[in-house]
Amino acid sequence: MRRIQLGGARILGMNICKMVLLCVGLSLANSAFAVMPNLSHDQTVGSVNCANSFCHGSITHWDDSNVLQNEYTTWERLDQHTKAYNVLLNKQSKLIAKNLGLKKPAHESKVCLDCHAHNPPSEQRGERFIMSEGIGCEGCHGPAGRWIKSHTLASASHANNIENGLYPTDSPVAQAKLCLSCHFGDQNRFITHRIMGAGHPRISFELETFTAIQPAHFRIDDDWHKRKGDYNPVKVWAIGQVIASQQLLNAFTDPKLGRDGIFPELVLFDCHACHHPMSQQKWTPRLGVGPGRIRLNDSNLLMLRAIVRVVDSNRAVEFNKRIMQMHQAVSGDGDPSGLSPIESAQKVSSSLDAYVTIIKNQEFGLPQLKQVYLALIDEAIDGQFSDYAGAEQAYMAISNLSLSLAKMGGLKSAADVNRQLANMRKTLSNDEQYQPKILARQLADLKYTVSQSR
Amino acid sequence: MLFNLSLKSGLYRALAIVALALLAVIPINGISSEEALTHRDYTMAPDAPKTQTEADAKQKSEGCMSCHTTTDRHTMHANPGVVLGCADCHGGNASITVSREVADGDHKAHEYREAMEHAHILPRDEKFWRSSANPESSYARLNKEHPAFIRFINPGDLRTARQACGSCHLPIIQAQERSLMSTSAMLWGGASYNNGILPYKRYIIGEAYTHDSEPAALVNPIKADSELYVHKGILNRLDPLPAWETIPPADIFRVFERGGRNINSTFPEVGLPNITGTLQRVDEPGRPDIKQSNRGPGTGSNIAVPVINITKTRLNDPHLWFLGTNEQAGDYRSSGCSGCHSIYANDRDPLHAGPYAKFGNEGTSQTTDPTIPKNESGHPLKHEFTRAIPSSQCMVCHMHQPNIFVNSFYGYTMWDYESDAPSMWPEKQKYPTDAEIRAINERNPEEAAIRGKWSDPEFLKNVSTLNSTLKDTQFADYHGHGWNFRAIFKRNRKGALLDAKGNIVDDNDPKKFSKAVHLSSIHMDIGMQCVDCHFAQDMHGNGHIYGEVAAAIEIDCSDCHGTATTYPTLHTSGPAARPGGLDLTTLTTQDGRRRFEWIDGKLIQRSAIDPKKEWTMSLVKDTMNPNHPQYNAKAARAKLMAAGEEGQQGQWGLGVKKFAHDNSKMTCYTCHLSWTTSCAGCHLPIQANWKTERHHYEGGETRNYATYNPQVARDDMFQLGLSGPVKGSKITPVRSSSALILSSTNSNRERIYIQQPPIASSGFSSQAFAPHYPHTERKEETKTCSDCHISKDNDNNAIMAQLLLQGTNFVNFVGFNAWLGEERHVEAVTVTEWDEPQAVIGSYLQRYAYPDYFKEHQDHKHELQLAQDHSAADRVNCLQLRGEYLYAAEGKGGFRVYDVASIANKGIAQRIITAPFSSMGHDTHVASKNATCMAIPTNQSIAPSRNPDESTDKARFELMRKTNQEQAFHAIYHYAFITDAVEGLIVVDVDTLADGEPRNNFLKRAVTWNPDGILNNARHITLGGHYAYVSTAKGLVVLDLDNPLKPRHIKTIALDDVRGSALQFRYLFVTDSTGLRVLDVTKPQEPVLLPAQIPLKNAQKLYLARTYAYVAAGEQGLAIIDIEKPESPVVYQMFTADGKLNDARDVVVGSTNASLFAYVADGKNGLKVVQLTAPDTQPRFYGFSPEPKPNLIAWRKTQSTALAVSKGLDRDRAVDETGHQIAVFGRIGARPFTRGEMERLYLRPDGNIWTVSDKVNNSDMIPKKSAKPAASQEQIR
Repeated sequence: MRRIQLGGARILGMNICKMVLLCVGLSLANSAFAVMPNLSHDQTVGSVNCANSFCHGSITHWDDSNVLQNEYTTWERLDQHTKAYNVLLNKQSKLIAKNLGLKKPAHESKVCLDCHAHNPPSEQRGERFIMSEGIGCEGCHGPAGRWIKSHTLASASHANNIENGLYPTDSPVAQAKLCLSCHFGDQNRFITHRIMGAGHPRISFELETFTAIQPAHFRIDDDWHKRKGDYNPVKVWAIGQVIASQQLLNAFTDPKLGRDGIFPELVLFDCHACHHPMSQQKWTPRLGVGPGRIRLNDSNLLMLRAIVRVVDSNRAVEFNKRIMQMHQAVSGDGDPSGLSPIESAQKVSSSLDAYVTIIKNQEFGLPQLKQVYLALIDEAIDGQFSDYAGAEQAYMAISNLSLSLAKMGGLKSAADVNRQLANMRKTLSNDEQYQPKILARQLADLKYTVSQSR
Repeated sequence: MLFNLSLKSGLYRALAIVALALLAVIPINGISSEEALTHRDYTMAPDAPKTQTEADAKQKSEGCMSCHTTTDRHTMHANPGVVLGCADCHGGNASITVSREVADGDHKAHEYREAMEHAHILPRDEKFWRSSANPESSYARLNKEHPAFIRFINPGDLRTARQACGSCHLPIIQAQERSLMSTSAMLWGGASYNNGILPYKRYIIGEAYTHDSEPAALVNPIKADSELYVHKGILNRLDPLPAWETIPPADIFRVFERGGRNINSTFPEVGLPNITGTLQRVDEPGRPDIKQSNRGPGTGSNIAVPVINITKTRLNDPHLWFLGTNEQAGDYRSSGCSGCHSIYANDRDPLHAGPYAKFGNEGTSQTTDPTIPKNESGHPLKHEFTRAIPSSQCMVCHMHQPNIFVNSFYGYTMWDYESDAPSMWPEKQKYPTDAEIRAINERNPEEAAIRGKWSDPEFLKNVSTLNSTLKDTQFADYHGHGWNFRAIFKRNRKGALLDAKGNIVDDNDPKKFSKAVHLSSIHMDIGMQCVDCHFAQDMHGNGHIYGEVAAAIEIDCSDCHGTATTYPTLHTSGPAARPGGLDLTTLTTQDGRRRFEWIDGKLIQRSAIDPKKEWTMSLVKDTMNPNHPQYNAKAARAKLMAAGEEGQQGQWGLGVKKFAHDNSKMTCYTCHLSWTTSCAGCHLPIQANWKTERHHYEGGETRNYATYNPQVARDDMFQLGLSGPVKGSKITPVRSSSALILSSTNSNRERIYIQQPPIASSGFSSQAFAPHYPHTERKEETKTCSDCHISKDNDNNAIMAQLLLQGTNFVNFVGFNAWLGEERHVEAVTVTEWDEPQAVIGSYLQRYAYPDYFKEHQDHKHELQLAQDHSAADRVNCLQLRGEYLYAAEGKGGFRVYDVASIANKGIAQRIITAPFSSMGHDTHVASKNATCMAIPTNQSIAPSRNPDESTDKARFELMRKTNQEQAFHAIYHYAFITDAVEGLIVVDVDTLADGEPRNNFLKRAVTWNPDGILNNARHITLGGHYAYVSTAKGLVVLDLDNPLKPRHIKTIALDDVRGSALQFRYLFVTDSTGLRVLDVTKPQEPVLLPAQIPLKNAQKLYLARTYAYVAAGEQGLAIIDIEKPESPVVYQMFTADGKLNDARDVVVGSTNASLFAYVADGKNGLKVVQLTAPDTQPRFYGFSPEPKPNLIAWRKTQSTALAVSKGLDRDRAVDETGHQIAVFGRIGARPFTRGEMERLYLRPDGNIWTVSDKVNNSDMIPKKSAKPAASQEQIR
């Protein structure tokens, strides 16, 4: 049976690969392979050109437009991206720059500006480009040089705009890649352990949560669907987890990013595996890698465990095993299948490709959503959130999914859940004093609450 | 017409329905250029599209670019998202293309011209619209052109902006059409109300045009109820201004009374059917022919004169509906949207023009467009719209000193023709021809300009380059309207220049003006421009119709500076702010920077016009915190001063119970102003013979013109009152706001009335005042404690009198004639020039403005040449001119009111008359046994019947008290009060002289009052509100006239042979047989004689002008007594003019231009005119009370012994000592303080005074009770 399963899985795997190719073929132009805004060769015109009160700078949203028209205002008033540049002016940033031995202060150094601002090459900066606006419109939506004139046309379609250089943030994969390129890093901009060591705060990110609390300057309504298709926050979350996991694994396997001298790039590992008083024992046997070993940051893979349990239940065990083997390989015990740590990680990473498509094809209706939800809680009960990073991801996921559940009518009492979420937030408020047992207990309580809601 | 909103902003939803209704079109008269108009077929281009493809846009530019080849910003917009072709905005034929050779060849060549004429849209008036430069003084000529042409020359003009800009900017256009910058409703409304033309303080008139230049009415998008009106200032509707010929006179001037059958209309062009007047040519009894017309109001010359000024003289004109006048440095701009968003070169001062200063002040262009000449005035700097608008662009309109405050923001006010006169007047007196006068006055409505050097635009534009050579002032570099503006410097009260540390700068120091502090706004000093505080809505309006400027403003000081206890919210909170306010953090500059940003606990603002400039905001709360580096003890003490008993003891600090100067009670700028502009009077002399253009509506020429002549524009007046509910009914600075006096010369050059103040619709005097934001904020030079409260040294009595609007008798207007009471006559002696400037004969100003006349005067040995008199029954010991009437106490002749309306009319033989016709039709005489003196409660013209009680006229009562929110008159204002040596006090109702009805002018006693003979031998009376101070042989008698018909005796202070008295705030100065005595009348119920005494041999009547008392001291001449400290007066100087002034009986003081004059009734010698200050004798003449340097400049022997002089018109008095209003206040619900409100500034509840010191005493500080650390700015964010 096991064999057959495996065999079936392989076949299925191949099918998935084909499907992926097909899908990629279809969506190549407009999503996953779109040029990232920071790599575009187009002219950046500056957010001021979007800010007009009858363009995107309205104080309130318009009802009769296919976009809200107050995107700029929302960004300017509420979005932390506006402050990204100014952070570089504060004392801590000055210190980081000094500690890193940068030649210029933080607000003039490319390594900082690449993420704390939209930082196109100087010849691509329009006359009203302002670095100090932080992550402005074009930092995410792509330099507007080729699309600013045409995107207002009545005939302009989303596809036209993308063709003209608009970045397809509506595609969860593209969105995830874009956000993670700063909120984790990619081959072009990467926050190393050295930067952390110089004083940069720990980075925490979850695609759907951060999209919501950004706050979103768009509204998913009929217009949106008409122009951009389906939108399901659960999918965004799930795809975010896939891409985040891949980004980490890809960095790990990248000979440049993954190494720092004789050490691996430490930023890829769980911070708290090392960062705790020597008197404290912080390991748990959950990864099967014993004490004294540093652990790859598997917080996103942990979420995927729960997702896979629901969307690909047949291979969940295999999936978990694969990850466990990778951990063993990385920690020095060796991959039981004989792969090197890098190969092992590559294998996990490439296996993740399929899940983008699988997730896209899910409906994530109420029953399924609830399954994911409970699966996450089961992971906790299983002791998987013993590390802070995972617990944090789990909290963000559960909080997210609770909202979706509530919207679908899957919660008996949103207030109760909110109360419980608030307690969990308290448990997680200090990463250095995080106690997994308390969270596990809280999640068990939550499970009870949610299970009652039938 | 109905326009639907195609834009979506919810904010403007309320404005969706706009009715720009056509109103009855006013008939067009006498358009001289009508024949010259070419009739053409015009095609209006389609509306510029909101979006289009680049290819489509290119098509609409192709032909244009074959000649224009390049321009600065193709679409005018810096935003690359805007896709437009030339013809989208301008119209015209973009398909006409010329070859390179033709384009580069001779532009006069036929082929080039022909192509141009086909491509361009041509005007109807080809002679006028000759080039692409804005023509000079186009005004209403724009209304003659087809909108397609207007759109072609300026797509941003409001007539066509809907087509050119509307597909994107419609809500702003709609708001702009209704904004005050377009409607000018505040000017027309204020002028018509303050001058009695329309009784509506809810203004009903505003300028607006339809697409094809027809007069339009504007309707507010929502109906404003009374609440919205009173508390938000929103008007429902504005209608166009009727033509001046049809507006009946409001003025109670005698020539407007019915009569005058022999005087025909002198305006054939206004449609009089019977031009020869053959109907009847003989006088009718009781209808003398000096009256203007036998026809009804609104015909002939029977019209409201100030309206001529509004329609024909450029005061604040032109507004946004028209192009700038484009003829003088500071006058260059376009109309509508382009009026502000296209920058012109107007001012070379970087503080005014920012980065544009380097482009000069002559309106020349920097464009790359090869077809625009670079040396021609009237072109914008570039073909480019910008939001980086420098103040110099605002100044093109906002230069009129009494009304608008870019001047004061810069630290300038109107020049007074006097300082540095030698540099500004030609050495040889100018005698301009009529043609020259017309040309000059078309550019500059000041009549003085026709004689001055500055009438030459070449001289004018470089006036500021004279500065290094000047002695008394420094000039600004902008000269819109042809005017000159002088800089205001920090001075002490005596007028000495002060440096930043408060040290005196020597008058003769050649670098004195760089050492003294120029009192510009601190905001300007750090590089701010108007647009750094006034954001889009303040400029465009919010779509509602307003009538008051302040009501239409959304920004407030605290929005950016916070308060003593809170950090700024960065949300607007002014009267016109949207609910919740505009979030200032969302604003960006033209170049894309955030305008406001908190960085590291500091609030940064970035310059809207200079990409390199930013500054850190002063946060009031930080200056209150002793632990903060910005702490300022003086500021903390002022802002945290305790209210009530605690404060009276000087306690202050965060720990006090209640703040005295809380933001809820007063505005920030009540203290944070360094000076206040005030225009104490403006002379508008209408002249019938000038054929001039109307500047509004139908345009065209009619006869009549009035020049515009500011008289006393000062910077030393600081006055307080209450703002209206729109501004929170707070204690606020008040300024004298362009009170008018009117004169009229008819077509026969007869002066049918002269220098007459109109009366406001509310019946109050038209010597108007208004709450006001001076824009002269500074950090160091602010108002301090002793500017508003009695100082510990008790040296600010005059300051307090001025502050409370009780008047200081310093800026009083004596005018063309000095009026004298004599042993047997009343007499008017002409003391000034009639032409402008109306220099006092023999004065410093006359020496420079009229060198020939000055020489003649010297040749006459200073003797004045002209006088008019009328015999009197007996000694005229007191007299007072008010309006066209002269009130006199004539001893045994009793009380008489002379009609002096025709005093300057050459067509009248006897110009002072007892009645204009038979005494059976007019009798203003009240017989009494021995009328020794008289007083009227104000010498300003008033008409209490216009503001009646409910029982008299319910409808008028409702209109005035409820709708217009006016206060009632006190009962004393109906009466004249006469002292009679035998009969005591006689009270006479004189209202009839102001009711406009000539048939009821009969005076009679209302009351005669002398119980127990307490007023026996009364010889003088002074009124202070409803208290009267009567001089008798035995003492000073204090009466309460609260009920004027039932006088109440309060107290008699025994003094020997009291001759006269004069009142200033808390002190009554009295002359008796011993000299000068002082009474403390803080509590008029309990007057107290003070020990102070100035011995004088024969003190007669006296006059108080600020810190000096002028006592007519008989043979000792004029005694000038320093009363800065009223309880310890000291003799400053005894002035006899080398013995020539040796029988002084009475004296008054008044201001003409920048100088101070005394007019002395010198008994047997007649009149003496003494110049008290002049730039050459007293360089500190701009001070609040400079030391007088008396100099006898003119004299005239009178018909009989001169006994009395009539006081000049009060120009800084709005309220009496008992808190009753005299003069009109602009702004709904605004008013002077009541007596109780005044007393709160200096009296304890027990009636005793409390005093202040300007020094900070830290031991008075009460710290905050809780020891919580101050919140950091981070938290505030």
